[in-house]
Amino acid sequence: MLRRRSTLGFFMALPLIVVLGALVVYPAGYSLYLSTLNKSMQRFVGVSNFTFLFTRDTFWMVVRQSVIFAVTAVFFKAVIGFCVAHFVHNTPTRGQRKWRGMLLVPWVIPPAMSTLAWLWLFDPSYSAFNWLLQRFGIEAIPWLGDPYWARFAVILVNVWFGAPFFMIMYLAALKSVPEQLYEAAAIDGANWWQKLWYVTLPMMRGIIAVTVLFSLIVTFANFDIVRVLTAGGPIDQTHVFATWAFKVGIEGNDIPLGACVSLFMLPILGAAAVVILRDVGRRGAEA
Amino acid sequence: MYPADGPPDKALADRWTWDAFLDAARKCHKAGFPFGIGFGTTADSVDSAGAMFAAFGAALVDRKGSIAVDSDATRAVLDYAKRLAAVMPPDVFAWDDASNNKWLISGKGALIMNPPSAWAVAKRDNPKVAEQLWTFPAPRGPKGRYQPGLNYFWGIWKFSRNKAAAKSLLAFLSQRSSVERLVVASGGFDMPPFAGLRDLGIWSQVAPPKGTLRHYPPSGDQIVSVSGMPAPPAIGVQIYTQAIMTKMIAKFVQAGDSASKVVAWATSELEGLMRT
Amino acid sequence: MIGRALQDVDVTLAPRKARVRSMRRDRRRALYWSYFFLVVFAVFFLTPPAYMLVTSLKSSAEISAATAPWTVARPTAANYVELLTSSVYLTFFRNSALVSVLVVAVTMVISTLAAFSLSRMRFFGSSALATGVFLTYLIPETLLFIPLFKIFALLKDVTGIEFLNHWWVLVIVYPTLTIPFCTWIMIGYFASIPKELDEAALIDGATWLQTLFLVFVPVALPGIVAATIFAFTVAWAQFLYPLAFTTSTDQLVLPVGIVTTLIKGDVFNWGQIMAGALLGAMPPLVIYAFLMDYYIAGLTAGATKG
Repeated sequence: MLRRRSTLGFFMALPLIVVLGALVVYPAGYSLYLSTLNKSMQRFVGVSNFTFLFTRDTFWMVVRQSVIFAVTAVFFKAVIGFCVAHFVHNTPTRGQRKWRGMLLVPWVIPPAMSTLAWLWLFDPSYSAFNWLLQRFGIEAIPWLGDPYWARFAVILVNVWFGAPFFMIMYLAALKSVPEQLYEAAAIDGANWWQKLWYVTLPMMRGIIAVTVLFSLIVTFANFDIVRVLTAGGPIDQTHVFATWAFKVGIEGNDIPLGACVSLFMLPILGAAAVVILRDVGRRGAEA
Repeated sequence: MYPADGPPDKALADRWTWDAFLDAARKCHKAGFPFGIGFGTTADSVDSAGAMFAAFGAALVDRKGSIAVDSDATRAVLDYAKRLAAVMPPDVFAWDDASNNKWLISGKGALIMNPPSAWAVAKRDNPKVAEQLWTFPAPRGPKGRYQPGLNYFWGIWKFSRNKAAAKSLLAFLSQRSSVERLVVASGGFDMPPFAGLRDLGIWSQVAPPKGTLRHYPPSGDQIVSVSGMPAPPAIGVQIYTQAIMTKMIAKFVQAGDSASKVVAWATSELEGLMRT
Repeated sequence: MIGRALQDVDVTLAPRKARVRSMRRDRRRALYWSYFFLVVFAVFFLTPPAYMLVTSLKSSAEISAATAPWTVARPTAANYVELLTSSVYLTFFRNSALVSVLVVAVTMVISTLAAFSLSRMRFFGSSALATGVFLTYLIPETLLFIPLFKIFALLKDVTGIEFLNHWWVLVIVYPTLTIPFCTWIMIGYFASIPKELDEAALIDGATWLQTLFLVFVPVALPGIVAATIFAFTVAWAQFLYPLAFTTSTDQLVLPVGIVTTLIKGDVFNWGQIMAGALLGAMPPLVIYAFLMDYYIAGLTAGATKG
């Protein structure tokens, strides 16, 4: 009986194994192989593509930018999601449904489409934001022209897109914190800040860790928003790994080099995953 | 240059140099309607930068394939670009192909470097601006009057199965009558590559204002060149798509790097492009 | 705790009433501030879609005039009409719909079977597989698109089948993006179904497959609906894979089609682009409007079931 169960189980999971093996694991390994070839993919050159990359200033700039972009965006997404979840949680339950509905809209619209709207909002000649600023006598801002404003714009659009996801997760988690804990804290004389720090946050540690990790991975590997908004400019100052890999690999006709750039993401993502999951595991054991 | 059908004014043409261009740019900036030359990474910007580099005689890679970016001509172009950027909108470094069109059509700008698509869209969306537009040749630099251009071509695959038919199609499309129909259909935007085909009537006919495209076809001392010349094609293509020239300008002007640093950066990029 | 409560009772009535009254006032103030910030964030989140709508109703001339970006003076449906009667745009829509529906079907079949197997059956390596599924998320699509591109080109040389530049190649690659998360959602739901239920079914003589379809699927329906919506939304919104793998206009899906064809060289038609983008966002938005509760419930299943 047990043996029959395990073979049937194996076969039911087989499509999953095949799909992930053939289309994720194998290409990842193939990517490693590609990165050891020369530009025209005819000679084996070992790690010289990587050593070449390490000598390029642009590469280190992209590394720095990707990390800053991912960490900043995830931080703001988490904080805004957390705060907005609290605000929704404070309103009477009957009205919460429509607030949740409205606030989740950015996450439902395909990012390539909504980024077009932002591109138009930031347009050098026709920006609707600049129109508003000029009505108040403030000078127009080169949203996508100045490197620092361009980075701000890219982070802003990413936060706009991702914060609703955090909000919806944290709202559900907030609801699952038992009311008695808050009452106990209130009786002990805790104010709202202490309730937050000693009751809410510890109870939500697991979900916070998982959402932050998930978002770090997705944000770090982001392509759509940067590609449509700035295409990596100006002067490559908003390039992240994905867009630069596309530029170097496909537009620059050097596929092995593009593969190298993409591969460099893996160790960073892996390290982040290990750190965050280990933290969750440890807390879970404590709790 | 103006009016359209007047006799060629050699004195005016001689005066129309990049220095005169800068002078005019300063005056228009002061009047509140600056020039708008993009220094982004898309085709329009790279074309304009390429024309500037060529006019000053600054080549990135020479005909034999050696890196030649470290030269006085390069430093002269960078210097010029800095002076020009000072009187242009600050976000030209992020302009894409449509930005200069929008700049002109919105009535905010006085001059852009573009084929007649901007005029055609203005005719549709903002006729008041359209009837004040005029197309004329690029300025002359120390090494000549270089007009940015990008040639498209047709080819037949070696493995194609009906070469005879394909060849006769191409022969037909190269006839003057076919060329004329294509150019008319594009409203004068398409430019035949051969000088003998450039006397079609359409450019004198479109209006308003009459004669606005009369000087669009290159003539006289204009040299149509592709940005990246005279580098060998494989490298030139990469110089173009990676927008090395506009990035050099952006680094010098926007990031404030020194000329030596910019040249060093360009050299390392070009070495990267030459990898096999 | 009880001692302190008794102490409270000792205090005279007046201060206690004051404490109650101030508590109600505190709650009301918290409520007003909450509503205030909710409105601020709602404006922030809804401004871009609203602006898309406003721009899509403007004619090209009105947009170029740039007199009042936030309002429409002379609304026109011309942009929508042009798009909906253009065969190019309708091709994009058709391709997107075909790809998304097929991907959802493939994903749901594979995920449901795998989730059932991983939550109920033990076989060699099943727990490693469960972690492995999560780990595949660490390998982003931005890493895989280059080798996949090369692999498809090689497959064409070997088998003669042209994978690249056909819309159905997307049906092969999209499931890698949807299956891990859908499997994860459904493992959560299946795991919460009490074992007594399948034991009861087995005693009644049902096979495993019958148990799956007649017992699990109905009970875990919210999770299944949520996974379906998620798979559809992800498939519809994909940008990188179609950008890399499809180039001919008649093979493009909506997101790539709008960005690459409506933006022709240097002539932008923002009214049409915004109309196209809004229409392109319609299917996920409509599904979301009707099935919002299922979607949210499914997403947050992980939050509460851990």
